Amino acid sequence: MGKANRWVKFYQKSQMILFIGILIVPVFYVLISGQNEVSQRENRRLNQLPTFEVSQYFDGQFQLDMEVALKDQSIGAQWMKTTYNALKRALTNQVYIGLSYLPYREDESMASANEGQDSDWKGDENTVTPGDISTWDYNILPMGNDVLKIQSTNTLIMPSNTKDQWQPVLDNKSQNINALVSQYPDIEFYVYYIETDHDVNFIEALNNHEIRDYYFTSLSDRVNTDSQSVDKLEDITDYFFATDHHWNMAGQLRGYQRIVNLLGEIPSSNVDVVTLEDAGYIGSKAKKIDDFTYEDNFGYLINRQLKYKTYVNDVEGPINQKLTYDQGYYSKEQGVNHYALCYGYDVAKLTYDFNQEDKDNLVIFAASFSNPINELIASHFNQTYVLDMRHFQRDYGEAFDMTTFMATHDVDKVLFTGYYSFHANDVFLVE
Amino acid sequence: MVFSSYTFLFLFLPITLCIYYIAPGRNLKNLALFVCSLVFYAWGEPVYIVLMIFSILNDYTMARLVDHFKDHKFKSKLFLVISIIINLGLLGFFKYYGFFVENVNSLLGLGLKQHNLALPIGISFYTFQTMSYTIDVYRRKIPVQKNMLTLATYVALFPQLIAGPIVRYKDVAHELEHRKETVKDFTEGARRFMFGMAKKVIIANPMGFIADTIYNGDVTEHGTMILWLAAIGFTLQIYFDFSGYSDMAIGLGKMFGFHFHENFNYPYIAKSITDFWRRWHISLSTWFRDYLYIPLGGNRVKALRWVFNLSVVWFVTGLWHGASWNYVLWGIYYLVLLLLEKQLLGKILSRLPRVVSHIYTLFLVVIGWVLFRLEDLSVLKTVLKKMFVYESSLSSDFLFRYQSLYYALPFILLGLIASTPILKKLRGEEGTLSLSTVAIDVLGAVLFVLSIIILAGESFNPFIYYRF
Repeated sequence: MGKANRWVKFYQKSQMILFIGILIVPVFYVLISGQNEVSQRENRRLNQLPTFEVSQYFDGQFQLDMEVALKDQSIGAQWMKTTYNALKRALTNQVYIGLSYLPYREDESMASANEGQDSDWKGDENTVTPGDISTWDYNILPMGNDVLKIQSTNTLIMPSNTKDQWQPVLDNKSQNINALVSQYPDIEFYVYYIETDHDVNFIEALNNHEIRDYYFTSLSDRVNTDSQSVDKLEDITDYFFATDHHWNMAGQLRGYQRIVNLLGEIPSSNVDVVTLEDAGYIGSKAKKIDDFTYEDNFGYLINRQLKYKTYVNDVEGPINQKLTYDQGYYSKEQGVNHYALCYGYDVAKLTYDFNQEDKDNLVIFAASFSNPINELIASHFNQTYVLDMRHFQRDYGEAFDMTTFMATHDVDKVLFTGYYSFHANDVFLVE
Repeated sequence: MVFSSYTFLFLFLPITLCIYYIAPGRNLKNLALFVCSLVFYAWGEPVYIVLMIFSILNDYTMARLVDHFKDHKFKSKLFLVISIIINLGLLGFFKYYGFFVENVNSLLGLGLKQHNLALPIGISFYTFQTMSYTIDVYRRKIPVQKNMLTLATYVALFPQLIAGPIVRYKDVAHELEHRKETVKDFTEGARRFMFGMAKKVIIANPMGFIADTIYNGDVTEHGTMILWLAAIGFTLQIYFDFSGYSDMAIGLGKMFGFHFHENFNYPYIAKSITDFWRRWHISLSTWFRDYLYIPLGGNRVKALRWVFNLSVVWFVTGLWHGASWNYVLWGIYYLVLLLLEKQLLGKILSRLPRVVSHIYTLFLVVIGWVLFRLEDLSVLKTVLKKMFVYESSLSSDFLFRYQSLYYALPFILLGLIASTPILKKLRGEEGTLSLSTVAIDVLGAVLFVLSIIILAGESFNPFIYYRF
């Protein structure tokens, strides 16, 4: 009895020590090893343990900051988040697969994503209604966080948008552009709309280009328009990164060629497409679901014959690291944001000076989509200014003012280019 | 501060344990516990901590006066009434004033203004605790506590301060001054805490996600099946959230040498509504029984008076849970069911097979939780109608429409299993050591670590367009 009692006591003491150990280790770890600055995986700076301030304590901010910092900094924090996300994804997939065996369709005549799963049924092309993509060959799997995956190509796709959803914002954009067109009659205006997975309803198998078409019909006749359309599945899988919302090298090349054509120029044949064998790219969609199991091949477009100067926010300096990448100097760490590092971060104003005074000056209003091909487009012009409305307040301390800009810059052509998030977003309106 | 947070687990608790166990002597230990409890409360309520301290001072003073004038019935009662008025006044002002004003304005067309002050955390719990202390002193069930620190420790004790169980002073009076901390109690407490954490994080949170996703959107978009899913989700959420928290509170209490009473006794295995209410939030139902129902006369009165007494108790029980008519409706719902069982159904149920009475109970409890969950009465009406008049949930995008819920669905099964006392039976008696004991304890530790992982995982916050 005594021996059994001793074993029970030993067992209880062990449990106590284990429990206290679990409580103590995370903070001890932070105190000893210091705090981590950045998470490549989450693409952000990690929260640091806050210093106490009375005002922040009374409004609850100190407490919130402490909680998030502990979760970011404790031992194994990244591993825990990755494990949790992987479990969540696995559960989502398995439950979806289980449920997909249920008879779920209410109306047999309605097209659905699962039609694509039945490889024997491709639809009757003679009776397919406009926008019906039930003949596209795809299987989609929910990945959590509203992200879906086209299984055959590991392409991650986002929920589609509808014209009704974005109409007010599209109206604001078209009115903004039309006002500029009226205000500057001597300038040529161009709009290039890049359709992406956001424009296609993979769930209900519909692709009617309604956002693009509505947008274009709202623009003035003086605006020259073109788009990079999604007309078949390969327009997504071949021209966009599987893990990112941006276009890949093939999409960038096609975009460069079409944009330059739109602007009345002839694309250069000296553009090389470089694919790096050892630089895997994990983009925004994969990071949203914390799925690092699949990597895109990363690369860039380059015209090695170009000679030009560049200015970032009016200060002379390199815009990107494309040349560094071209020399073989780039990180091979998983999760590195190659799109930003190689093509350049988004800033308020980039200037490309090609010193070709016989050519026009171009303004490009853009977000991040044009980053990989800015200098290629600019090579057809004298001065090119790439302006990102989001960052003027941050970089110049004041919002962008078109009147002031036009008074101090000689501009012949203006291009608006991007995907739906650029065209249907008031933050990009030009004031 | 909540128990299921990193701040509590990895900062507050280890520091508090360290300070407490280093402190020599009972008084210093109580002081350490009191100060740490104040820090705990002030973490979430840096301003309203003053209110809690006021509540402590109020009932300390009033109880001393009640005791001092114990031979003068009128004066003794007067101070008791003052204490109750102050406590209920505080509760009424912060919790019910808005509800009162809204209804008066609506009924009488007045334009009374609301105060828009936030509800202090835990006020429903600590005012009831302090009231019960003063009442019990008046009733001479307990001697008055002359040591303010001891009383303050009782009221502010962080394990049960913000979400119960409602601990009566008489249940911890001896332990406040004479408790003995043991390794056995500590480990039992730690185990209880770990399982409580798992109930909250692993089961309650996903269930809450299911319920919130469905109820917080446009309920007219959902069909019968989905609304039943939401009802079941909420049924499991509220139980595991509340009982998980109670488990953590009881476990924490044990780590400091306190033995609180059980607050839940597997209510979802109840075989009648009467049985359910003997198992659900026991500390609240017994509080109302002892301090409201019995003083009104209980069931030792004529039938009509008895119904009145029950009506008052259930009206107040509903209202205690929230300042909204749906909570009152919920209380009345149970009043009607209990009356029916006492008068008619009780005997019938006792003769039925257990599975039938169990299904009957669960069905009614789930409906009750729908009443509890939906504060908007028009939404409640719509939901109840759709739950009983079939409407298809199926659509062409059905599989993808609810994809965000998928990861949570398997936890329904876990919740149903964990609603039964199977683990308790498998583990066996406390203080014994067997294979099943060790296996269950290992499971508890694994679930605790999993809870910690989930808490970290839920903070995953990728910046998609960082400088981009």
